[in-house]
Amino acid sequence: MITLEQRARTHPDVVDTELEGRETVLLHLHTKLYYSLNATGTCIWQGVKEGLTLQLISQRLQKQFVVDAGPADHSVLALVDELCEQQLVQIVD
Amino acid sequence: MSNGSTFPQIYPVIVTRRRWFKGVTFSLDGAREETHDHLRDAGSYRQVLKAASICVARSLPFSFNMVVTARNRQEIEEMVELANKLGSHGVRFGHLMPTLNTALRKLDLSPEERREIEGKIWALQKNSPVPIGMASGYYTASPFFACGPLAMEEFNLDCTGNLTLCCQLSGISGPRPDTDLMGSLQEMSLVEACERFRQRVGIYLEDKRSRVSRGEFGELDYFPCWYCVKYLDKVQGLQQIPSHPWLHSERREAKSNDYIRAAGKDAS
Repeated sequence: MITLEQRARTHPDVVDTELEGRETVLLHLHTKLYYSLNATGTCIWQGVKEGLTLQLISQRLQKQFVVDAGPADHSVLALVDELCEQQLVQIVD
Repeated sequence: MSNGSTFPQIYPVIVTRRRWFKGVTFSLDGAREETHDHLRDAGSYRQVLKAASICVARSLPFSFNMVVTARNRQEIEEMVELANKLGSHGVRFGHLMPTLNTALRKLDLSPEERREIEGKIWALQKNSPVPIGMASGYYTASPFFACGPLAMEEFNLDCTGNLTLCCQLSGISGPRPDTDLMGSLQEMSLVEACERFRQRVGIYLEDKRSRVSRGEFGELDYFPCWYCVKYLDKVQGLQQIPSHPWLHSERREAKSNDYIRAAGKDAS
């Protein structure tokens, strides 16, 4: 189970492309599948790329989108879990 | 045609003008990252796939162009599969024109290997999930195959602003550069350069007709781009490698023609 204290890193076989700063397209080089992240997902993805803990990513999300800690924590954990499942990110510690 | 490197910067302009946008072709010289990056530069494969991702996200039609070499010839089927999976509108294969540089890098295919590859591509075309095409330069039965420039449907403008007869080995000129170079658009108008081009095509075709009628049109000349670069003396660099498969085939053919001529004389 993923916790907010952990960090994730992007999978080396993923090509990410940010579009107009509010959307990100991911392409997994092995599965050849595309994924699209909305503005919230892009904020989380950027945090992962910067090596932030999921807690810090959630705090950034709260600030940027003016949301409470609960929903922000939930969004981060849910997305990172899904990204892990699709092998787009890996949990570091 | 694009290598994808500047596509992230220019696509917003394309999106605002999508009514006039027909599509973009990305150069991808290998279905595998290591192959393309070996032929181009490290990181260039991902650059192309980033550009393709943008096209998919913004619903912009795109296709791939692969120049077939000794390095990537085993990846033709894989390229078709990749194009299909990535949502490409098609894939086009083209031949690499041999130069001293490509010979030293051992990228050139022999004429026989080219024919074999072409056979494979034409066969794949029949059941491919995406449209497959071949760029001009493949073996053709007619000596008068008209590529885009010879059909006067395309004009080749090199990166310095020169309008040239042939789009092959752009930037390389033989001992008589005026045979290929129609003029610089920095010194003359496009209309003037195109008129010179039109006249040059006429001379080129006349030369070719007389060569065919003299029986001097060899087997390798049925590869139209090879014929043109030879006609324009652009392959001189290859002379440094006498064992090069194309020069070797040319010599073999010349010897065989000499033999036929000699045999003809004996018979008469």
